[in-house]
Amino acid sequence: MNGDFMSETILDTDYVGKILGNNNYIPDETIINVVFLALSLQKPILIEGPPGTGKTELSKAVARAFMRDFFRVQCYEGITFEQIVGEWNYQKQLLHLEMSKISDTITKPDDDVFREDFFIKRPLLSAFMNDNPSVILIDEIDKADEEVESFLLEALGEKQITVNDLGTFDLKNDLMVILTSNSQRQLLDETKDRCLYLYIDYPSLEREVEIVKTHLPEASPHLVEDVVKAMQKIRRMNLSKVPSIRATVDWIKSMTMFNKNDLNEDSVKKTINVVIKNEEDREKVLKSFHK
Amino acid sequence: MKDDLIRFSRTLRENGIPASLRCTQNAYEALPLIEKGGGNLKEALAAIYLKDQRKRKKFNEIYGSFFEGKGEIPQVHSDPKNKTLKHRHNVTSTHDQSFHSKTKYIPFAETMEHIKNSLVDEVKLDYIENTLGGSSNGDSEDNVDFKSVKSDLADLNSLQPELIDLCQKLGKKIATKRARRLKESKKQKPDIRRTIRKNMKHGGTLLEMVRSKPPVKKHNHCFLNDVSVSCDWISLWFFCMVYAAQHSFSNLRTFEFDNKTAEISSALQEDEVIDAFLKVLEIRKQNQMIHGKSNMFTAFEGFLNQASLNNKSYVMILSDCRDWAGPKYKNQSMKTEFLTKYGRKPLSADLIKEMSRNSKKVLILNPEPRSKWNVADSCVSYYEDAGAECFEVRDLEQLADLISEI
Repeated sequence: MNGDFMSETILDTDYVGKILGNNNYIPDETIINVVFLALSLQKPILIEGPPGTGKTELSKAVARAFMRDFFRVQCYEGITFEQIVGEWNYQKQLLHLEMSKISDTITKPDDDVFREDFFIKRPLLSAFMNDNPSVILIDEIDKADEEVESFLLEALGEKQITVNDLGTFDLKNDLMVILTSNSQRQLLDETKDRCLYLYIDYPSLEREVEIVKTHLPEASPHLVEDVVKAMQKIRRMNLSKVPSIRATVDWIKSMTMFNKNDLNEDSVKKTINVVIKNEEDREKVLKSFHK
Repeated sequence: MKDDLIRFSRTLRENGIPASLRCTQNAYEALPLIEKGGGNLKEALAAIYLKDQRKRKKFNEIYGSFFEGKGEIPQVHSDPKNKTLKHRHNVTSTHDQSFHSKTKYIPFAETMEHIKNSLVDEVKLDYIENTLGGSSNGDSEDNVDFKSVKSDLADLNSLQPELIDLCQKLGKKIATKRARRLKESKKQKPDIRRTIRKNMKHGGTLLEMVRSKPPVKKHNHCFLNDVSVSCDWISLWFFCMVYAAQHSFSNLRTFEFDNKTAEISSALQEDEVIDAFLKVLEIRKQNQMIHGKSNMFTAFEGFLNQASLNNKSYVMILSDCRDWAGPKYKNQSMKTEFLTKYGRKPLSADLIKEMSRNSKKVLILNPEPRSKWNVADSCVSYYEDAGAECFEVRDLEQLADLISEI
């Protein structure tokens, strides 16, 4: 069904922008262009940018918009091949070997325990072997070790995964790979070279208003505009933790809960903790509102 | 258009944006799609060619001049010295090639010379005046400490982008090594004896696997950080290195020395680098180690008494190897085997020999340019003869290279 959907649709940038918008993601021109290219060229996308700017959300939106199955690998320090691709089911292998000992020769199962049946597939291999077009998000790749990244090169470039003792798996579907990074460490040049690069910064005023409106359609437009303006100002204040788009949404939600429709000193004081996560920053922000 | 793209890739490359063949090929494939799909050529090419947001501005300039005819294509600032191979030996170098050692390891010849030489020369002139002339300036200790903290941190701030880059590269290498070690420690071989014993409850049927326990890590590292007046110019750099190392190595002890040795391991446990530095300054004051002259003999003697070295110990000395006030061999001044080109063999070389004998490895990380080694009171060749390995480490890049080399 998904394949038909793709073949019937003429893919252009207008369509990409529109369909992402319909799926609650407000893209800018750069995002539209990169997603369009990634879909057309079947290239992975490497997304960088500060936290809370919609990197992860973009991959989910792409999956929703193009009706693809979604897989996710959340990287962390020390994540291994086994957790990304899969691992041998040792217990099953041992049981099988024991069974082969007691069975008679007629019902004796195959001796080979290094078959696909004994391999537990993890997200990357599952995404590769999936029958439907899919999106796989490899989130925060910068937190994984360099070895994991090196191993991913084969998957990103050759669209293949090699598992020792089992063989090489070729990609079975139209898989879109999205990697995100918060630049905690520099990624390998080889990884970057295989990907289209997208940097998502904090949004402009207009785009942020649009984003918030999609998330909170019932919020008063006046409040949304005020809060977003305040947020844009806060982001320019050189704080130790710059608030994200998520914080803007949360701020408006908490303002609504307090039945506040205006951003004044009192309402800011009551709700600023939703946005600012540091005492020094809080004082700085309150001072600026006091002025 | 194909030729245009090839020329565009070349221009990007010449301007420091790494445009690979794959990028050019992708751009070529993307062109008809962009045209057909109503895409923005600039954004599409940026997605293909750019791999670092900091280069976006430069990319925009090049794109503007190349495709839109705005302004001139930025000029390439090529420096022939910069293209020197990292491992090229000093063929034209004028420095003393150490006639004491028959084989010398010269890993980082001429690297980054062009950046640092002018600065270092100036600082070294000051140093020579201070050490040979005898006295440091008359500022109060607090004042001097405060000034040095301020000025050095300001310097670091001014170099931020490059510094972050180099730190990231170095961190990446260390992270890889640590991850590999962690993985190795987790991948233990099956312990057959324990496995059989454990499976007795299943009637001997092999159901559970017991793996052998990870080996106990016995390695220990000792950092010896030179804080004598001759290393004033680089003291903050040394401090940053030992602070970073404190959080990266297990079983690490850190010492500072000028003419005596003081352990600073506890001070480096602070979460904030500034707090750690202030604590270290306090320890220096308590031990009267402010602008002291180098006496590596007494300092190393103190170190050997404090640190119990064994064959699993790595000793890393961060020093310019200028043993100014240290005792030298007497009555042998005429024998060439005890002479450098400029001075006599220091007794501290014997202590280095003892360190090398007692430990697994002694590494000296020398922040001076190689051309200054073995000049005046520099004892590099004596220390190398005593079994230490000396590396030129004047920036993070060289440090990262050193880690990968060893």
